[in-house]
Amino acid sequence: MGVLEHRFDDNVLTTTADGFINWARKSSIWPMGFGLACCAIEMMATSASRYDLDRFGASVFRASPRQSDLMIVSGTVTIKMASRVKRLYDQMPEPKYVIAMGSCATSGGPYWHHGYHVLKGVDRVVPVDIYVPGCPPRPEALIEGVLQLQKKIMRQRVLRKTA
Amino acid sequence: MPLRTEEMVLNMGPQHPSTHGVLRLEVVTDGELIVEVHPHIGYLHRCFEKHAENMTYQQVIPYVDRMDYLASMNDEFGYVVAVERLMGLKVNERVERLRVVFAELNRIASHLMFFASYGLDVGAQTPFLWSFRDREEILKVFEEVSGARLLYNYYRVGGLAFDLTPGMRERILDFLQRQLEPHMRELDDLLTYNKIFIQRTANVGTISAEDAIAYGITGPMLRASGLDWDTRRDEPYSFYPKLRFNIPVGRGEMGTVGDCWDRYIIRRREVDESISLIRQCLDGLPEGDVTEAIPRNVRPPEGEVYMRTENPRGELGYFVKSDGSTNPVRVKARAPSFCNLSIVNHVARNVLVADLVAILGSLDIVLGEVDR
Amino acid sequence: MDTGAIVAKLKERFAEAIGEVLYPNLDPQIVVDAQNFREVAEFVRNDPDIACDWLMCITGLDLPPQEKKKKPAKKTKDEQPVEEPPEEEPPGPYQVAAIYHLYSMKHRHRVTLRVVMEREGPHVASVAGIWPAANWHEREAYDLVGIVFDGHPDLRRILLPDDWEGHPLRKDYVVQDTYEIEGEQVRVPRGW
Repeated sequence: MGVLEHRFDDNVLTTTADGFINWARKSSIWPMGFGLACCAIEMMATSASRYDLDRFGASVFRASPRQSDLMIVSGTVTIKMASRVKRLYDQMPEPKYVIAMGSCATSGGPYWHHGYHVLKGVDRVVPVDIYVPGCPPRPEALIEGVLQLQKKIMRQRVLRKTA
Repeated sequence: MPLRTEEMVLNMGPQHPSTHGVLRLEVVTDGELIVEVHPHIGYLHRCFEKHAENMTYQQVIPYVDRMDYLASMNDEFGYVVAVERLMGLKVNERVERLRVVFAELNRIASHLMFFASYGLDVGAQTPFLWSFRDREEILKVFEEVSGARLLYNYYRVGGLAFDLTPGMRERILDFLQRQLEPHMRELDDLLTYNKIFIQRTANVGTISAEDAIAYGITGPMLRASGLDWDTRRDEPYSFYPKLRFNIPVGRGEMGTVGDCWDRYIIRRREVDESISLIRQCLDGLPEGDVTEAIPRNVRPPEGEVYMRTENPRGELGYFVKSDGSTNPVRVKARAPSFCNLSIVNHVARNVLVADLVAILGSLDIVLGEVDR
Repeated sequence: MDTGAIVAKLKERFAEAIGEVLYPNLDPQIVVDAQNFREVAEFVRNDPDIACDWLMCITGLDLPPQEKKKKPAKKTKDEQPVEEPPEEEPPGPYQVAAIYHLYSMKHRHRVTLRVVMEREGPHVASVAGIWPAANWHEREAYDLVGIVFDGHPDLRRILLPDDWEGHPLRKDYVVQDTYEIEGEQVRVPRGW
């Protein structure tokens, strides 16, 4: 990038500060284990031996929200559980991201019509970055969701002022 | 001056790595020992029964298999058999045999998940990866026959949705012989007879047979307490009267009868029995059409029926009430995990908090079923 | 013992509390009066011939009134109605029912008891002291249908939050509009 490019040996890289910070953040996303229902089983299968989420740096599931940066809401959020979702989201430190996995977290899912106790979409209580549709989504779909989140993180402005 | 000791209320909240889902346990402890446990459920109440009243009989099936999402084929099996009993509908032998094959395959998959998560609960991380390797093969079979990995919508009132694909029968038998049985023997060496595992689980959480019946416990937990009861043998349905299988019963080999290790070994032995059942059903599978008896409109005559089937977790009961129209009036699912969970206050007295995790893991609950 | 013998034995002990047997061809249900239900339940548990020690399930049912179907008027060849159609009969009373599914491990037989109550303020005696399994089942029937079990040690909602309004499995239930989550009113029904 600019005047320093190709002036040194191959083991010197140049980049922007934003690019470097965003690269570090996207390569080690630590999710919080927040499996609610059936999608949690597919989330476990994604981090198991066949579809390995550890290749993308995202498999260190922390139990506590204070040590994690990603909340994968996997499963149906009910009204009784919604206050806990919001509280856990508030306890996560910045920068934090939310993936709504499955159709129940996106919009209420198959319980949309007559579910009196189902929250129709987790975005009624927390802001969501990525929606992964499916009932339940295949592990490959969840990995695609994590990769899209990584792309979104690379676009963030950390040190640059907004234009 | 006397020491002032108070009891502390510890909240193992709905988000917890060891509670197998959204379950809240309010634990009153005196130091390290537990005095009382109050479970709070309802964090996954998804209004299944209200949906069942507003859908047709065939449309209820996807909702039914989201109750116990680790054993969806068994959930659907129970519901479909209940509605067929209400209608007096008979299905051909190929459908009966295939239904049992898939129900038993799902029982194996559910028990593999139990080994994985119970190992994680007591601190062993390798059985998780090994069990999931075999579980993925079973899910591949299910995906090939029904289209989905986890929630199948495969059984219909009157038959099955699709038939087996060509060569699938040989692939299932080959998988059982070449992969599953040797891997189960490896798991025995790793976890079942492991000294640390035995020390964590033997003599912990003993449930006597009288308590088990009084609290409505069913399934592997009841058999681990010494009672010889299996709904597949004692109130048989579908193709089970023509099959021969043993029922493993807890004998207290490593500790007392009815402790956590017994509950584990019953499920381990049930995997062997399920393998034998699948072989018996696939041996001599007749030709036929699996969709021929599916009625165009499912309208059972007026009546009420309560049908009991054996889920991997216990006895799944369906109470179906119909009044002659296309929608059921009431479908109530008696979930085994709901009744199994109610004993946790009685069992977890004077144990350490780590033992509570081992006891809760051995109950093998699925919160989708508890809350429906 | 089959159902006929069980009903005969119950009737000789509690003559007026035992009603008819519904659905004899499928799963026979014995209708029991709500007032004397606790004695009947204790007898069913402790009598050595019936000995139902295993409570499988308690189902709460909301029974809408049976509407009588109007008969169409008869027509002659000239398409003239001959008789007046009969008067529309008023619908029956609106009821709720609790169904107890019991099993005996000793004798391997099933007994199903049905208690019918009227819909406004249904009360029946709790059997949580007889079968400890009934504790959670009765809480669920109270939560979803609204049946109050007298003598239950801890009757409160189990599946829904404690401040929920209404009993959802009733046929005329309308879901509430908002619920408070962490200080904010969040919309509950679908749509915006």
